[in-house]
Amino acid sequence: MQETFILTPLDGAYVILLCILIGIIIIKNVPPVLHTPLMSGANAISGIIIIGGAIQLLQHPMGFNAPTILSAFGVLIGTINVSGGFFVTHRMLKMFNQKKRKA
Amino acid sequence: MILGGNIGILAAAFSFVIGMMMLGTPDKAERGNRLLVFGMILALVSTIGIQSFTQVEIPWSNIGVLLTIIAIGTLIGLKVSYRFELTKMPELVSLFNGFGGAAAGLIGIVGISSDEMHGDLVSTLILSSSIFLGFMTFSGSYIALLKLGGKYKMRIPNNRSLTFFTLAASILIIGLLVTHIGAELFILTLVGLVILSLLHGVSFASSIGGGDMPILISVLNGFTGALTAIAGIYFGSTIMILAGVFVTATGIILTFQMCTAMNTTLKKVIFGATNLIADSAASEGYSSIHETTSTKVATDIILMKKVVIVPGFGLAVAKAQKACRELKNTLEQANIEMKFVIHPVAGRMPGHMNVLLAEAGIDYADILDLDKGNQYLEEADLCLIIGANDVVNTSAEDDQDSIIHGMPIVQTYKAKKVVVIKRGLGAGYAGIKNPLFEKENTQLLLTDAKQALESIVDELKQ
Repeated sequence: MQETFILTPLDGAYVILLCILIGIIIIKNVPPVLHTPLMSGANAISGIIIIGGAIQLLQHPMGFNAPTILSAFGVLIGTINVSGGFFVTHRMLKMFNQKKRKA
Repeated sequence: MILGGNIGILAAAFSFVIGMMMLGTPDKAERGNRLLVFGMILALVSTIGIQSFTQVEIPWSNIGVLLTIIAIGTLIGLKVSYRFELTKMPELVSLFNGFGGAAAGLIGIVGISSDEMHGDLVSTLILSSSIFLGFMTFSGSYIALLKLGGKYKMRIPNNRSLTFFTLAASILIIGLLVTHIGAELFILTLVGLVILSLLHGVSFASSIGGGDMPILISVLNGFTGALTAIAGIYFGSTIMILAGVFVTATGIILTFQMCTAMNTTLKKVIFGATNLIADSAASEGYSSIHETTSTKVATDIILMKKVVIVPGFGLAVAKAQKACRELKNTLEQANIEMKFVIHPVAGRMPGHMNVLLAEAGIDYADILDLDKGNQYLEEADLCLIIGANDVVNTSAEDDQDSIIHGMPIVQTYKAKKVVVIKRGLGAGYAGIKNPLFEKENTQLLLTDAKQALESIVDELKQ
């Protein structure tokens, strides 16, 4: 996998630095009303860790062995994190929009 | 194809940035969430694509299994997220966060065992710390979930030493794994690390007071973010780094904002200073209180011009948000203005009350924040406090020695009359007495919030 995403540790450091800056700028001014949806949305995004599980699953030959089962289970609960997080966020945000349509 | 995949990843990163931006503005938040979903799907599909095409043979069966697992996981997530009521939102966020942590932990285990003891220093360090942080987040989130529901009463003796011991031992084991010492006991060290991480999560979360749970959830959320970012370095995936850092930033900023709103520091939250004082200064009995009945409140309320409701966690427990809406409708027919004032940390999470009131269909414009609310309270005739305690505690302003001194509060005493609807006179999460309840113009209605509101509405309709 290393050949495809050509990323040296130094590149990684740059990515992290820039992302921290963007992240702080975006999140700093969010009004408290949206804190719960924001937290749950962010929580859903952190489930992107399943990409790692997916890479592992694709690398190993399928079969009834420990690595396959463990990473399959990891991807499963990670996906629950992602989809659950997004659905909950959606449910909360729909509440805010409902009355806006009425008004 | 690989180029296409990389362009897909770039587009996914772009969706995440724009999506997070939109999630921060009330009007665009829903679309922002959709954009995040889109980014997530794009990132997954691109990664699967790139990974498959770099291998000698495209592993069709693996892709099939992977997609099936993802489909099942999505369905379970859908089911779980719709089964909980909106009052339980903080619990749900905590539950999902724990799942994410466990997933990261498992992925770390697989990674480290496929390298056996031959991985390089950086990879082993990343993987073993992702096992530690992942399982710690898992058990910590579970404790937070129990504490939020008031189901966790266990007190661990010498909890602080246990927290310290599990942390130190875990770091030691990570050191062993990185330096490849004791390679023949590889499985045993790994199992030890998992158990210690789980224990550390339990003791770490146990030491944090029930009232500080939102902060704990935010901290744990930040941990999962950091975890994702470092795993991104191992997998060489920029999108993982990006998403992980975003979540970490959210976690850090929300944690500090909540600490400011609760007038505490992260240090106090983690080392439990608040807890110790709260235990010794537990609420004493109240000497002079004025009780009232819902009939009296109803006869009072109809003579008022401006009414304010200050909701707290009690409103969520009693599920009284719809009754609030009914009261508002009834009062509006009688030309009485009614507004809601929400303290930034009312409920168990910032914005928790906003979500509940929105669920009941209360207009955004009728909900005031702390500053505007305190201004409005000066002209208000009657203030109904529903299941809130610490956020209206006047000792925050009057009592220099109080543990919550300096915390901004909703200044309900400014209203001409205050009615507190509460189930009992028990202390709030800060565990201290509330002098507001003894004031001359304060009346107490000691009953379930939903019943109280419903009977007030009934009285008004007659």
